[in-house]
Amino acid sequence: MTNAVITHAIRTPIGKASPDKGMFRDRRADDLSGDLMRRLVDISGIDPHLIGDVRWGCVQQQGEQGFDIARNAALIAELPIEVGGVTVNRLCASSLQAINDCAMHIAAGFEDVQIAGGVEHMHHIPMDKDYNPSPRLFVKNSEAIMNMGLTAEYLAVKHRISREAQDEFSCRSHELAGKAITSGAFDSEVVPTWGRCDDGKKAKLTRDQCVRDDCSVESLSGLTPVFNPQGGSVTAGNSSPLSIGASAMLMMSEKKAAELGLKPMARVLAIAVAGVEPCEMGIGPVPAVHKALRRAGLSLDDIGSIELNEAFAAQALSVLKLLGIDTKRVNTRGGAVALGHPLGASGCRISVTLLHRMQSEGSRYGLATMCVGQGQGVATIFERIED
Amino acid sequence: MVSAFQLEVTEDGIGLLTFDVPGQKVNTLSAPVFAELSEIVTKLEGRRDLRGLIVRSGKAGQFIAGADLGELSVLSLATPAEVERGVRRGHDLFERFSQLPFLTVAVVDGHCMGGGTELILSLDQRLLSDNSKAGIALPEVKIGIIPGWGGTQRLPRLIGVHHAIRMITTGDTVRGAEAVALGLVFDVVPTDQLMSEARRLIDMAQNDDDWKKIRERRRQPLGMTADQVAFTFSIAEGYIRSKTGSQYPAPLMALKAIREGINLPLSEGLKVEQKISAEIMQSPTAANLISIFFKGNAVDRDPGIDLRAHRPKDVARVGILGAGLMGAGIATAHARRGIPAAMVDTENERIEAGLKAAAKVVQGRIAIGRATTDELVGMMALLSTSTSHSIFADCDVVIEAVPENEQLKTKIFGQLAQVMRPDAILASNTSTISITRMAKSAPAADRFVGMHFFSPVDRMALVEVIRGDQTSDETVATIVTLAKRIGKTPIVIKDCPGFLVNRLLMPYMAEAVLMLTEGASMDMIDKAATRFGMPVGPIALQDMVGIDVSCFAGDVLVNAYSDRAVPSLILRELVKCGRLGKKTGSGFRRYVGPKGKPAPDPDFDPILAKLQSEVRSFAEEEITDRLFLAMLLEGVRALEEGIVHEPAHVDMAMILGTGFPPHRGGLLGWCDNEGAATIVERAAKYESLGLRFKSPEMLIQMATSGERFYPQSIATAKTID
Repeated sequence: MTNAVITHAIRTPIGKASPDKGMFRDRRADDLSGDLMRRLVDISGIDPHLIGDVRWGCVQQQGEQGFDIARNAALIAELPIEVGGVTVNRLCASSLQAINDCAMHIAAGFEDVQIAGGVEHMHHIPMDKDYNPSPRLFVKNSEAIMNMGLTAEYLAVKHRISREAQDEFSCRSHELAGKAITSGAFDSEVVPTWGRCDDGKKAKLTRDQCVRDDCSVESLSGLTPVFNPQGGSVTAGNSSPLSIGASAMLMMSEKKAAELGLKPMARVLAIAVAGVEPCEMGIGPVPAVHKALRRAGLSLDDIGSIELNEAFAAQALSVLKLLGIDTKRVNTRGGAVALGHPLGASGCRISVTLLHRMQSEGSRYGLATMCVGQGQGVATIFERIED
Repeated sequence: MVSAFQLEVTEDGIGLLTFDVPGQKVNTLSAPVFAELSEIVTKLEGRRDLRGLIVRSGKAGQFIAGADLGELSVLSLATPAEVERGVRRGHDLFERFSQLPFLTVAVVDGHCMGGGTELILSLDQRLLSDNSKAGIALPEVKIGIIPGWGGTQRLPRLIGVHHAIRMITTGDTVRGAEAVALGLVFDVVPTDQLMSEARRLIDMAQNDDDWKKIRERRRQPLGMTADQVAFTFSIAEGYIRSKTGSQYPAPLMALKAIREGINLPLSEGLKVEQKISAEIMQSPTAANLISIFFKGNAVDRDPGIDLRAHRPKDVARVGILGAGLMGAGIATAHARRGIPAAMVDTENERIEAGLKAAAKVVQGRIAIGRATTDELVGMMALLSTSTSHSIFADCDVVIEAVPENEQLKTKIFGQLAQVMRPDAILASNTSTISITRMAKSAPAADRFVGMHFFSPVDRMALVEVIRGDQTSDETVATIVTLAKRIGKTPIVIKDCPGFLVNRLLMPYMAEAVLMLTEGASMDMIDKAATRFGMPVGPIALQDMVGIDVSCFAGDVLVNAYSDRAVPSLILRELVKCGRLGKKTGSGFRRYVGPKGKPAPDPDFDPILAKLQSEVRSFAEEEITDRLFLAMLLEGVRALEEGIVHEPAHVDMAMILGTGFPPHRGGLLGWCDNEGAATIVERAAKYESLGLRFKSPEMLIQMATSGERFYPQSIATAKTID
């Protein structure tokens, strides 16, 4: 089997989905994507004609994200017209799927150099815009499976995740993200990106906008639950905020990287997807991780660095509980509760952060996993390539 | 000449260049301005100490209106070498601007047009204010030329080929968020933050070399592939041809300049533009369209009364009698411009329909983003209504817009006399009835005047102000001023049957109907007119106006000008059959489908057959000549009789009132282009058809003397002062 490797992994800072405060309120998903693709080509120095395809995750494929945004963004990036572009949708795991798809194409020898990544502009194109499923989807399922917050509430009850635990986990996420920002840990992954500062002026920005310096368990505990105000525990503070961002990786076969003299960051070791009950979609990583580990011939103890997408604190804590992972091992640079969860970009975003963490933490194996609405989990195991 | 520029250098090393041409309302780029600017650039080129340059206008709400049109119009008469020099002057200067050794930023707080836009395109960055007037355009094609100081080359290199083609070939203004989205400007900021934002851009550029790379990239070929070029430009060409027909060459020439220059280095692209620009600058269409610009200015300055000599009365409130199509339109026009309007009709249902029509005008503009709901609310608040005339008691002007029936009108004038203030003016929106005659029934003959709006009122700019024998100068001045206040173009006309526009239009319409009875097909007649440049053909126009309306107006003119006017018998027949045109579903043609598309109507054939005198074939040339000579000769007669005193009044009235093609240079401008002698000779061919083709004395004299209605270049005579 041909190994797929990642040579470069970058992302934009993540902005709030806010019409008056959002740093990307007047930037477009296709432009953000195109700029990031261009940047990837520029920093890698690769001849863009070598790129076979662009696989780009995006959930809400309409408006500026419609009509195959992967291709449109590749054209905006002025990649050679011969480079393809396909938009990948597995909801929250779309761009993790894009990475996995690239790896599969490389493994099978169908394609070599590719760009994987994703984007979501949750302010311009709201998550549930024009969504209209068949009544037959709800023969055995409550329509509430569409409400991710309620599925998180369900997990909190089912796995007895307390409000305090959720708030503490969320606070930790903000603290770690804040630390990562101030320590410059994100410098190697975040590309300065044009947006609007707090005063409304345009500038090249690097700071993830949703991260709060002033977050405390006390302040979080004061918030009213959003999805189930009477008796619920999932609040705006312990959920991932609606946000905007893009992430991207340059992938190719190990052989091609050697040929081009590019130093790979890691290879893709195993990938897996698993379905779960839609009403507890957040638990999806559990079977997916088991499957991926089996395929890699590894156990959780072998994994040095773990990125688990924090759709909701209740969801992340449920997953950790069932997998038996110590919270300390995951998301050491903060997670989606603090950084944001721009749906189509998140899978690649956690992978980008994971690969940069693996470099600095010196771990051999890394795991990126996330839950997917309507009940799925995706997991990818990377192996760092040493000099 | 007094200096138009001021250059200061701030303590922190930023150059501030302020453009403010003394004694002019707007900044234009004339030859002396260029000379001065050139000296300034020379100074700036040597200033290695500067961190950046900010270019701004000293005129509030105005940036740069563009090139000096007076100078441009002279170029249509200049030698090719002179034209080339004029074009190159801009290129050379803006090239130097684009290469100054520091970041250059334009701050635009108002209109930025044409040459002004080309200047700011040569700078590194542009900022736009959030002032609703602030906008950027390259409107050159509207006067028949193309951007010739780099616009066709720099714009596509800045915002990409597609949107550059759109901006350049339509001449449309880009404002606000769209300008940011296109990358035309860096950002839109409040006026009071323009300067600080410009300084911030200069500060940012000190530690970020991106601007140098961008500057260099914009000097390169855009790098379109052969397919991108072939596809983009053939689509654009097809689109432009479908919009402008073949009578307006400028958009296609602009397209050609973009196509031929886009894949060359900028310096080479500019040469391509120079060549094409010089070529079109000397085309007759450009000369005609530029002349129309000046004729419009002339009418604006002199609408037919000296406003400096005759003080208009203040008008605080206007009354409108009649809530029909015209009445509601007139009331809306006033309310939209902030003048309280009281609208009266006999029945509440009619008033309600009138208010609905009023709202619809603004709603339509809201739908296309040209008005806000606030404006709608404000406009409706200024409209009051009543079924009683007493609401007119405090109106300074009352405009009568009741059906076209002299008895009805004069009866109502008697009633109005009871309620109107003794010093108020009564204006009639009649299109045909004599103002002098109706003045006898008006409350006061000196304060009675015609104020003829065209339909639809919200779209038609022309207002004929008809002066009866006893109408006072003050009354005329007041109505002219009022018309200007509501954004219309008033032209003062001495009372005569048909006034000006209808008097000239009717012979043209009648001639069309007459040729139909002689055997020309209606499609052929309409096509001849639209090929000449009219927006619709005369037969189609009959159906649009309404056969009854046209028949009534035609009869008035036939009675008044019985020596030459020909009655249109078909119109009477059609009225008898109830075929009143589009509004009843049939007239000359029938109107089918939900959109009422015109189609040939077999039921019309027997009506025509009854009246058809002969069936012979027509050459298009004969149709065109008979249509437009009939119109032109009547125009000359009106001028000869002093109905208006300026040729420009005839030309602008016909352009604004009937859509006479501006690219012909106006009706009398067309005569000038053809030459009076040629026209007289061509008219003589048709003299056997009737006196309507007899050339008036004035024209015959002009044919002999070689005189023209306008001097060789209207612009040379009027603008360089």
